[in-house]
Amino acid sequence: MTGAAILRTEGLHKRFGDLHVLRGIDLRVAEGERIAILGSSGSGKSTLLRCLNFMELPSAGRVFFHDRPVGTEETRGGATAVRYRERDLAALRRRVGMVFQSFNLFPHMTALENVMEGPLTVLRRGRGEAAAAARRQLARVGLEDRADEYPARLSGGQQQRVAIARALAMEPEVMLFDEPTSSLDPELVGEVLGVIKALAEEGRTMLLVTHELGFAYHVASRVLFLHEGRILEEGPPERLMKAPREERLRTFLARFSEFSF
Amino acid sequence: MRRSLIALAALAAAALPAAASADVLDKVKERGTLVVGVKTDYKPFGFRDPSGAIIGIEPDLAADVAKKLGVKLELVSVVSANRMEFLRQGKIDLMIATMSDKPERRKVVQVIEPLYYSDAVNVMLSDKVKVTKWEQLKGAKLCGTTGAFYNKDVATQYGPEIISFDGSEKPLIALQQGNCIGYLYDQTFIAGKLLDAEWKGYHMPLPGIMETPWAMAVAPGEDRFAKLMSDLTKEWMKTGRIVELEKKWGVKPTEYSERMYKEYKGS
Amino acid sequence: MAAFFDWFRWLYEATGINLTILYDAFDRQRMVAGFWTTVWLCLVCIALSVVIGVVGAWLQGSSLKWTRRAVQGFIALFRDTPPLVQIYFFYFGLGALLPRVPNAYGIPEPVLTNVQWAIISLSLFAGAFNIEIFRSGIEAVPRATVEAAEALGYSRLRAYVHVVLPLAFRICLPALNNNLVNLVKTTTLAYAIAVPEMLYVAKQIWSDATNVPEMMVFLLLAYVFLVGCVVWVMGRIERRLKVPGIGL
Repeated sequence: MTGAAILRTEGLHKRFGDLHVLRGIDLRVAEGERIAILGSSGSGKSTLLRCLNFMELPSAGRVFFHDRPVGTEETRGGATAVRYRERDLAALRRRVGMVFQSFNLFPHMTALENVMEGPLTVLRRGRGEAAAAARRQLARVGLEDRADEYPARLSGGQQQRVAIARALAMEPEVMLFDEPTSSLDPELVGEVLGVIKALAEEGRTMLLVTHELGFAYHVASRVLFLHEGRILEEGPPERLMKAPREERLRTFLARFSEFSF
Repeated sequence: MRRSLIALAALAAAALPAAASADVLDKVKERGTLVVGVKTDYKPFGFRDPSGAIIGIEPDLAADVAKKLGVKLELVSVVSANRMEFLRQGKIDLMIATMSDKPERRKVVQVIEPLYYSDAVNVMLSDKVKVTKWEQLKGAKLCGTTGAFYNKDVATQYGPEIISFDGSEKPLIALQQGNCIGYLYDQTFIAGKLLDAEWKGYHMPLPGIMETPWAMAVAPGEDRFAKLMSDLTKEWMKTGRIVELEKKWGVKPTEYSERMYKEYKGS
Repeated sequence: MAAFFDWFRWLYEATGINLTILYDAFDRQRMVAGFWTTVWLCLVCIALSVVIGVVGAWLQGSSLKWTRRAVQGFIALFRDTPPLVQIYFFYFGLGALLPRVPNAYGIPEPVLTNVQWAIISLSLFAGAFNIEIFRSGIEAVPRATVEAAEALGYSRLRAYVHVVLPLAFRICLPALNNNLVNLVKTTTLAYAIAVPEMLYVAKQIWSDATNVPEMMVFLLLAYVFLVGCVVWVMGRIERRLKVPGIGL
């Protein structure tokens, strides 16, 4: 393990009613790490990502940000529960960016306004400063010429690049990518992956849930394989993806017949 | 609205077969009973006592007529919408029912002259409001009833701000709640209200304005009865009978009654 | 100007068309005042009812059960009862319970006037509908869009103000238009508690001058004009807010 841990989880569980999705996840994300999370659908990989910025509240276990636990423990009537205050969660989310599968841009704002919105409203930056920064972020994802378009007028790939710029504008310490290319037409996947790859090369800390195994192989510094809510196997991509130890991972990798390194 | 109703009533009345062909005085004497239409919702002019009997100023006048004819008296409750109808249909022989004298009405029924009484416009005020002249109400808030013909005239002549409501209950509630300092309405109505304990603390200090005389009526063509009633009315005025009845029923005598009394006293 | 007004006196004498609001100075003044009272009622009630709608819809999404129930009760009370009954209830019912201050005559006078009661009552009435309208708009905003805001570190209130409301507002604008048009028409009910708005003044005038048909036609045209203004303004807002991809 290199560098200080930015994010860490201890015994993370998540239940949706009777459905036990995460069954004890212990994970440590060090600065500069690029972690790809693999797993078949229903394995809990998206839920894990969403628990890291509290889009979902964990049912049990704790998340640590810079080694400080998020949420406060409260004992009431003998039972101990963790209370997550809105203010604490908002503070965490400011420093952990997220990119969604379905982009989720604000449809009533132009591309530029979407990117400006966070710094303007949450970080209370000035309008001019926020606009200039937003233009730089758009340039970084290659969309400076589409700044004044509304999301409905942009292709899926362009929308996702705006969404990435929107997350970057908050200058987060970690980026969470939740299947960023799964909603895209095949010919649009490349432009988004290109942007993510560039970010990886800058040395950004990131977690990426993806089905693009080739991309994961080339970009990730570490790969996790989730199965039924547990981390079944993890390691560097070369080792994990070329010489998997677990039978389930072998079956999983075999399903991607077009997968080649 | 009211005008068209009256027109309709007149039309309906004209379509009916002439009701009173025989002289009504003969019929009354033959029957031994005089039937008079009076109001029962207009304290103190015609209302019911706790036992249900109809009493008031107008029933007393009706009793005078029966006494004069030497017959018994039967009182029939009428309302504004049916009082002329009843007369034309012969259901009542005589109407003494707070009816304002209007030209259209004279076409439908036979009005007795001189006119026996007169309503006026007045204002019921809290005892705290001490005024002696209408002009002192300039700028004051008065409650009123929508559709009263005098609202505008009072507003333009004396300058109060009139806030008017539908019917007479709502303006009275508004008055009690202090939304206005007085209620501008028919003087006879106010006089009746002031008899109620509920309206203790209110008074009617101003002289009535814009007199609207009331008319008794008989069926058209009953000239003999009309003449008799006319003579009797003059006698009432001469003897001060009406002023006396006003006092009996607790109403401050109207300027009209007092004027008529003064006028006829010497004759 | 005087010649113009006198022409209507001539019109009355020649044809029987009796427009006292033009040739009679007293009637003219009170109708002009009535028009402005109606405009004032409309503007204030529209503003207050929209505020009530926005705040109410936000409270309706509260995590506190009793807050949600209180909003639900408020809506049931004001949406499901006739506005005329509400106006009477406020003016004659609640008005009686209000503290009073003595006026110049020493008579205790309620602290709220009939105009203020009309504004309160009409705003709450239209506000109850606005809560429901905004709620339907808010429910149409995808959860994922709100999540995107939360992921940027928005609080619930900030996400509501910056993302949910602007989207919900665009979605529910047609329904809001209808309700505000209705509100303009409903202001006529204020006549019942003697608020000197246009219908009240018209009733005063026609009971004096018995020119009911003329005043009815005038009222009709006046409200066509007023509602036309509201529709025009709302249309402009709609065009200004129009954004590709959001159903308007």
